[in-house]
Amino acid sequence: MRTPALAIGWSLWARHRTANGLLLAAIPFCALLYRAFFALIPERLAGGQGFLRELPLTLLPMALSFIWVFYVCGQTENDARKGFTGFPERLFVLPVRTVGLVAWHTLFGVAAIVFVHLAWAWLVFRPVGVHFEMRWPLLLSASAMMLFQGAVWGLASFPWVRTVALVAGGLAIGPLLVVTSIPGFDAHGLAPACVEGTVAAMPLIWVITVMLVAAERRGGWQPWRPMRRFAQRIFDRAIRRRSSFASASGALAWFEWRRKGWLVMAAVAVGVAGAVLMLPVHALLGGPMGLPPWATLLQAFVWPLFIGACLGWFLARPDFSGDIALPPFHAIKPMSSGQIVLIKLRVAMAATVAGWVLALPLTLAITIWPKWAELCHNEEFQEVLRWIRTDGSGAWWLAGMVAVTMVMTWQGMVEGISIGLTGRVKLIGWMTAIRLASIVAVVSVCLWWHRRPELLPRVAPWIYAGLVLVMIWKTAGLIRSLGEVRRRGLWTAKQLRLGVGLWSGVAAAMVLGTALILWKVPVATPLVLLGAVCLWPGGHIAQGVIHLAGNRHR
Amino acid sequence: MNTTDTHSKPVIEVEALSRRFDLKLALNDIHLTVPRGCVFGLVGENGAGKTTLIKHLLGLLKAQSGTVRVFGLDPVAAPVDVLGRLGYVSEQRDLPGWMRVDELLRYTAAFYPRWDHGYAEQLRREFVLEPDARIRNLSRGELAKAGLLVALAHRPELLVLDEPSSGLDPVVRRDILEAIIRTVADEGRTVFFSSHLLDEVERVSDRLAMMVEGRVILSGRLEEIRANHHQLTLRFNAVPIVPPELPGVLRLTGAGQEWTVIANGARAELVEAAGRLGAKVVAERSPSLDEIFVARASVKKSGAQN
Amino acid sequence: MQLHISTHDGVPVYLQIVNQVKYLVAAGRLAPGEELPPIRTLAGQLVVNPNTVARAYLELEREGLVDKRHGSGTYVSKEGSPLARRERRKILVQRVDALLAEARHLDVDLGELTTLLRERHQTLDTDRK
Repeated sequence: MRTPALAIGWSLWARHRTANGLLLAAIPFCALLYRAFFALIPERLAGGQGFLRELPLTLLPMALSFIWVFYVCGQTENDARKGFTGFPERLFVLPVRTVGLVAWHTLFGVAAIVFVHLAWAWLVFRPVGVHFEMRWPLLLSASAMMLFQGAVWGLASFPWVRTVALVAGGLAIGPLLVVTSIPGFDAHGLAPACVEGTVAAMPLIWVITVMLVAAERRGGWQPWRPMRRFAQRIFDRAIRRRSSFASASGALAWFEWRRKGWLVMAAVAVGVAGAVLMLPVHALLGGPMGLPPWATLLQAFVWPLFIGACLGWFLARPDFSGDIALPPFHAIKPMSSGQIVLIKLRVAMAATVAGWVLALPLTLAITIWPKWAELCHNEEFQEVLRWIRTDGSGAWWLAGMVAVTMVMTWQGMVEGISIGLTGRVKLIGWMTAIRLASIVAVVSVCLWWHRRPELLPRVAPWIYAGLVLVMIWKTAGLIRSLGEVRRRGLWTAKQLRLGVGLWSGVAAAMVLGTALILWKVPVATPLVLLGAVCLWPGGHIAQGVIHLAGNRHR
Repeated sequence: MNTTDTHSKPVIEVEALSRRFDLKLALNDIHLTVPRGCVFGLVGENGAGKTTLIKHLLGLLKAQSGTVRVFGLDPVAAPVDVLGRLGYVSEQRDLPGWMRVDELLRYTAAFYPRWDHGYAEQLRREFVLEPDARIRNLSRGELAKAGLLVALAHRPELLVLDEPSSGLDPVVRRDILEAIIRTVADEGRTVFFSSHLLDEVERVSDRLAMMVEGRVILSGRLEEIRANHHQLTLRFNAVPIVPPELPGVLRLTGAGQEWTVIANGARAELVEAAGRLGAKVVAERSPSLDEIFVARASVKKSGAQN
Repeated sequence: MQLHISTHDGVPVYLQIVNQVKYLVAAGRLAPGEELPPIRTLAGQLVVNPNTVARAYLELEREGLVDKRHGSGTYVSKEGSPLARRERRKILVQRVDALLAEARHLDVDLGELTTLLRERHQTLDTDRK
């Protein structure tokens, strides 16, 4: 390690060397795996995009590896007391000029993202006949890296502004990257213009980043101080708690809401509105990928469930410690584990309802925006939209689906909370991986069958048999968990009744949702039932209590 | 519940408690009884298992084998009943950094029906904690005081402190020790605290237990422990070729003709044995707790190596 | 009443309190009939366990140095210490031994030391008056 550059490069690699190594290994692994698929089903791959058309989820590992590279190259370190920090402070004491520090990080970051991008495109997708457009996307991912680093380091003093900026940037650049990667694609010249603008702004962005990091090195940019103090005062006046709590439950609910609940609410609102906003992109991509227009519409309802599951995990974890185990601060409060879980569920419910209520006007604003409808270039999809807008039954159908999705968003959170409350990293990792894998499997199976309707009658009995087994298994899980909660006295009789009531509500919503889809959506019944059984609530609501008790009394 | 019954019963009873983390045996067959109204000091080096034992008392760890009873209840089976009657200050002082001091007080008060608002306010003034201050901006000492405040303000029957004064300056340490004294001065309240600073244990505790490598090697009343240990300086007529062997000796240091021993048990027997080896006592004093601990710990460790 | 507790020299805390109170009485800084601070106050002030202070007071009472009046407090006894002669001698022998050793080390002979003792005795007497 003779030069600072080498030391910085090494630290970027070595801090997460296992994960980085796994990522490097994933590329050749996926290359071989996809080649194997290619060998199995050669006839399906005719016409270049065939592979994507068959299994669009093959893009998921690539997307995950991009996110990982961004995280690594942000080079921030968690500080237990200050929270998420910016440019690592320990580097400021090195005898290296700020320009150098930033430049090396930028260089390594850009190199890493370009390398990963090229590796996926050339080593994994090109051999199976998928050719991406490369020129603009490469420039775009390099710019995205610079923007990401600039925001993470430059806005370190404003964590909330930074979070919003990062989310907004991700939502803007992600789809742009996807769209520009499609060969010969030109959405009114809009996308290329955006890319050109972004790339052109890079030198300026980089200079600003260096200036901000230099200011950070000298203890923060001074003019920000009064601004910060002013913002703090306004913020404080709005949310500072000045009255006593009526009960322990009220206090805990306040804590949960103050730390996470309102964020969950915002995330649900943004997620729902974002899913609707992105409908044109799906409508556009859906055609070439051979998806039916209904799939495009339904995915807008699936996203909130997915967001719900992620948010549930966030709601489960304690907020102020790097450790995800329940910290003593909470664990030693004289309150039963069952009560704590019920309060979390209550906050999740409030956040879901409030999020959907916030999302509805946003969604309305998006759908009446003429450009949005115009961008939905898919004729069949336009027809679906027309039905919803003009036909009375369409409106009822939509209202029913919104209600069901709202309940299911909450159910997603319940499952996330239950998994997160174990407080054990490995267990959470495994459970999440199994969950993701099962989602990927179910979606892939559904898409595959959709294109081979001739197979369906033959396998339908097997699907039904499997579904019955899954239902039995899930219900048995519920009964077992409730039994254990009762035996260990984690819930009182009243709380048990409440738990069963909540579960029944979710189950009823699920039945309603299935009926609504079967009523109007032209998808084969076994596939709808498959999806429904996957989302059918299991014993999570009671399991969460058992998990928390295990986390609290290890 | 019968009041006379609860008063006569020990506050903490630990029997045959063992705990294993992966390969490490963190607690090895612990037996401990803490009577009501005493200050109980738990001493031992870092990693001896003090925090693990305390976590068992709070129910944060479940007994793998053996039993733990606090107020006669199992803290895992009845967490609400046990936790409502005790106050705890953790070594990490994990208070939420985003709260302000007054918010922390209001928040914690909601969980304890017996929270004494007047007492909390009095302590806040004594500890000079600004109500507007954010927890994350507090100094180490202030953070420790804030943690102590929320543990004390509901006047718990049992105060559990894990390394209350580690990493603190003498002024804050004194505040914390005073709080311990004040707590136990209230009739019937008990303090259980761990520390590796033996001088503060010697000052404030009346019972103590010493832990080395997951075992309790010594437990009892402080004065009895002190009375049972002697430090003698022996002068031999001739230079002994091997270190002299004497009954009850825990630690032997020296060279040439003069040797210093720290011993446990009957003094007369020791002096007699030393006389047979041709030595006489030239100085004698009562060893400090520090010296007893070092002697005990070294015996335990050399024993473990054999 | 100013006491100083040290935990480094191996002397039990209660004994340190006993010895220092004895010294204060002997030096006249605690007059007969004067009240000692209540146990809890002294415990808080010295940062020691109240039981330790209670034990020291009990020891002092047993030696007759202080009187405990029920419900009012602990007072330095009027009669002074009826400490057994043997006990007193024992305490003094230790001190005298240490003094002689120190004097020998500093090359002060017995005559000089005796003169010094007389001088100090007179000074203390005048201080008391």
